[in-house]
Amino acid sequence: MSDYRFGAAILAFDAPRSFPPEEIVYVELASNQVALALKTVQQQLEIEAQLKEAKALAEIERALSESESIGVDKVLQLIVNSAKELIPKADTVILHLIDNEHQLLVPRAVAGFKEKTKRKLNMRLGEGVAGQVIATGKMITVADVNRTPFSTPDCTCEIPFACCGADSKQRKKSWDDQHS
Amino acid sequence: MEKSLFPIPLGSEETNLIKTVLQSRHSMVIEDVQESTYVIDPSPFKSQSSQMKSALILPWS
Repeated sequence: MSDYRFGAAILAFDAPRSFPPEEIVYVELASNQVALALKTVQQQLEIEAQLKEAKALAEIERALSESESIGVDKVLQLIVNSAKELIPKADTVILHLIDNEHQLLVPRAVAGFKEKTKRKLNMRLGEGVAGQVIATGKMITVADVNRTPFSTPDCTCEIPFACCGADSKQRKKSWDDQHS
Repeated sequence: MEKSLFPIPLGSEETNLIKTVLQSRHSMVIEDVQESTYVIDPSPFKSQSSQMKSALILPWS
């Protein structure tokens, strides 16, 4: 519990005054109660988040064990849905698999997109952030898609925002508008 | 719990004071803000509360 630091309370007075020890003890006790309540809420939130994560992972594990009967596509869809749910601020999730024959990254499952756009989200291998991740095998984080070194302004693939083109946000909006 | 309900910008003096309280995990008494050795420049406190002359600062940790 000592790892939590929520902040500080400032009790202000409009005149200089001394603080008797018993008054300080009393206020500290009250303050500790508030801190304890905050810790309880924080721990509850953490437990709920961990439980949600564990449930999602258990569901994926169960689906993987039954993939022969329910189909790989359903398992992949479950994975992207869970990823989007576990990362609340994620607007869209795409799971690409490599099509070695056509040298493409093919979306096998998406979340946050309109379903009919799924088949048009193919990407060429080696392009953009996804291409870098596949080439290096390492995770890449992009804080601002407009300022990534992996930008591909001349990108011609059908999901330019995933390639992190220079005007990717505008193009994504345009894409969604055209396909709504 | 991350979002501030009252977004009051803190001055460096206030920030240092609160940081000290949080690090020590002990409450701090300022009987006279103007004369306090902890508060070199009381003006940041004045900007928050022109009436503030003394204070008790408590860590929530």
